Amino acid sequence: MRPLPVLRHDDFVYSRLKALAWVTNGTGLPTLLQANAGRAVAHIIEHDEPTKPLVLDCKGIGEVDDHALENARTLLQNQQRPLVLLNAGAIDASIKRELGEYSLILIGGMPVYILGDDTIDRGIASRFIQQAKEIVDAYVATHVKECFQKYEGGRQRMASTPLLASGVFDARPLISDPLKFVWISLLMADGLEDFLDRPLEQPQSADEANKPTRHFRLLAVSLRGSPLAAAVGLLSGRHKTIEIVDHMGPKYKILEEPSLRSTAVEEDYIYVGDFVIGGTELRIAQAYARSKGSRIKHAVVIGRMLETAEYNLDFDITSLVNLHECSPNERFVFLDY
Amino acid sequence: MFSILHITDLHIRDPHGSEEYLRIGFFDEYLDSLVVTARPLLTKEPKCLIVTGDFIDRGNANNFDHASTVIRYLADKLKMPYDQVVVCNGNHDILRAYETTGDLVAARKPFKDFASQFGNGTAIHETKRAVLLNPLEKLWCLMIDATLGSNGEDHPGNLESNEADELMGWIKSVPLDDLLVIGAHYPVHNIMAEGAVFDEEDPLWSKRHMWGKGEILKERIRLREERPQIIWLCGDIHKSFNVSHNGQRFMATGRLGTMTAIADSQVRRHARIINMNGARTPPETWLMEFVPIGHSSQSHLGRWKKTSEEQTSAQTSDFLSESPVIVPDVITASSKSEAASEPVPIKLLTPSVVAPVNAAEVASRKGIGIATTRGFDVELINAELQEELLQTIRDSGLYHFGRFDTADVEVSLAWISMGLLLNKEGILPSILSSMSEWLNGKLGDNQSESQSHSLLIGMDCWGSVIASQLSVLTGLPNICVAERGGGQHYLPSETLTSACFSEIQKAATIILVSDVVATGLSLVRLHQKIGIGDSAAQHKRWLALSIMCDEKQNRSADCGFLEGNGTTCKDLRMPILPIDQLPPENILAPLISFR
Repeated sequence: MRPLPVLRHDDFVYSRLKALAWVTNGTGLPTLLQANAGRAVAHIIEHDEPTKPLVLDCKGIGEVDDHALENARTLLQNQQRPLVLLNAGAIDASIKRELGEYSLILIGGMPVYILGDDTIDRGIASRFIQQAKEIVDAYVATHVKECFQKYEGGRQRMASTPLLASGVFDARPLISDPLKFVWISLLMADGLEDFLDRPLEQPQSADEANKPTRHFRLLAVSLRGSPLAAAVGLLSGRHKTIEIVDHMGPKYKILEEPSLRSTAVEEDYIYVGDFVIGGTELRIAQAYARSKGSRIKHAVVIGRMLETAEYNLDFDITSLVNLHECSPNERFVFLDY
Repeated sequence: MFSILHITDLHIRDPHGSEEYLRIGFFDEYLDSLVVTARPLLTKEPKCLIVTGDFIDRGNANNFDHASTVIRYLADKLKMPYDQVVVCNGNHDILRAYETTGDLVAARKPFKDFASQFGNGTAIHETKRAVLLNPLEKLWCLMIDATLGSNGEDHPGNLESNEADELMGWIKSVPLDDLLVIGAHYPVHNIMAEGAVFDEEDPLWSKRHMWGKGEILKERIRLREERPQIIWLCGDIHKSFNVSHNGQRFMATGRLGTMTAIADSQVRRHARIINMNGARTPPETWLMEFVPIGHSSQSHLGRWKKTSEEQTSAQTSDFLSESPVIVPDVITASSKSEAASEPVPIKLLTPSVVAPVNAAEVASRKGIGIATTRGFDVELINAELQEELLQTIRDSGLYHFGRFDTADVEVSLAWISMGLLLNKEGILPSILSSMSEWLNGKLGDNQSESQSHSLLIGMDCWGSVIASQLSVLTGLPNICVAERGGGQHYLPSETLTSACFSEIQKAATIILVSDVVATGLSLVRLHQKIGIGDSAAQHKRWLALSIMCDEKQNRSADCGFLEGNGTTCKDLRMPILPIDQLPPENILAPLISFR
């Protein structure tokens, strides 16, 4: 079987059901775990460090096809491999049907399902949760760091922003490698879902009162942003429009005729992109949204250089990493005009 | 039959100085070395010297005297009468001050006086645009002023229809069994990958160096399909290439001169020999280069050598075929770097001038049957999905008719609002699923081997979306490249970079992924660019995947290099017209232009 999206800790093996569903079945039914994904789970159980517990995060999965995890169940029993399921509340019934009896504990409000090992208690499960987050964060930080390409010959002015920089972050390595792309996209999709799950904000002014607040379209304005926006949109169980403008960043050159698009947009925009350094691309995108009679309400990116507040935008940015923390030795200096 | 020596771009700026090869105190040593190397290669008699412009630098007409000395010296050394020397002007040979005021005759008078001492003085036909010469028996030279019409701007000029008519009249008068050489300073457009960028840091390179209007003449010659072969010679780009396309051969030769201290001075000096055995026999060509001895501070010291990769006779059986061919003497930066004893300042993976690949040869080598003429073999990958797409386009009004300048030589008359189409519920996942199945079928059962040797290349935004999703579904790596407008509107890092080539070189199968294939030139262009950076490109297996590809369009692009070309919709007509069949842009403005 081809390489699967699995991360390994000294104490356990970790994966996401949604990632397995994506690589095996695509995004036609993004919240459904089908038989192919079940086979991938079985493969991991059988072959991926089978002496260690397997921790599967079920976030974003809402249904499991009948018999999808049949093989996994057999292998778990045969190998007596412990299985810990996180964020599995939405598929509680399916777990019982497919995998049999489990122990259920609540950790920080999250139902955690433990199968096949009575020794995994609350303390161990809590540690697994924390360590799983740490290996995911480390995975992202490591690979984002690899995206930094130092300029030859010292600092140069960046193409998009009046900044002198010692190099540039290029998301190509993250998009090129399917496993990295899966993890990055999935985490960005989580960020989007977290934003959409926030309580509705109150209208800030009279003209906003009648605007829908939970109907969004995703906006990508660059070559690198496009695959990310599409992935985030496709992974979401909620139907939303993906709008790609070619292109506003890092250079600005619109290669499509606006009159061929719908001119007025009723939904709010959520910007999806790769890296935010100075924020120029975000501002151009906001101007574009305004020209459509809309606005950007949120941004989801792989990394940002500054804290959100420092960009002085009227929306928040969800970022997987802080680029400065990833590459503390690199320097980005605003040019003084 | 005869031999031709082609040189170009002398760029004489400071004959009394010490910083150029052709300075008064050094040019004889420099040329003597050239003659020593060239003489045994000039195997036919009589001989002809063709020079394609930029004799002087920056319009300093005082230097024509020295240019004359240099050319005469070379002719004398080769025992060649001066009327067997044929020249055309380059952009540096015209006086910019007159040109910008519209006095085109005065701007070219010094050159014309200079040229008249050579074969140009005995022209059969002459207009302000061109001269037709017959310097040798069986050899005709149409020397064109490709700068005319540039209005003093630093880019190639135009070619009006009536001028093309006249030149075609001359061409028709040349006996079919005689060889016609067309000399122009600038390379005719579209012989390189359209929009390919010679210097990644100069997105306007193509505009400045490609004679787009020359395409009109090239196409008219091609459509007549009578003359067994025509050779185009050019200079300007300071690089060499030698390609054959639709029965016409196009050769550029690197510069002969210029200062040694300027930024790109370490780009080798070139001269080219063409030996003709007959009008219907492919030429034997040799490229010679001046190889410096020692370090760059002494770069004027060196000797002329023939380059082994220049010999073209091995593959010239394709010369008269319809399909484009690549010949082994296309000088790639990488191949030159291997031979170089000094640092080569150009970026190794920068596409320079590229040639279409011989589909027939590739097909033959792989033992597969590919159409060798223009056109596409398009494979519909899911008929049901096509119906759904067509219905959605119809119901949602996503088909737009108008002028869409997505390529320089052809215009697409149709535009599909791809974003709106792909956002219809379930369509994009269905497309991805169908493409994934098709791809798995093409790559065979040995998935692990296929995965490690195949690469998806997503072209532009939607192509990148599809490629990245297919990458997840198949496990294949992918790269996303900006190709619209030849990538000129994007950062160099968004086009083909060295990082891309490290992936490409590992791949045995390349899958080009795009949303719409209209003219097909983007596929050809990308294929050609990859051929420049990866010498093994022509040995790879090439597949293409698209959402829309009208199978019935008669395109000029030859995608015969594709072993498979899958699409989810092949039955939607998306007409294409040659750009010269449309009124000018100020009458019919393009709704979209990638230029």
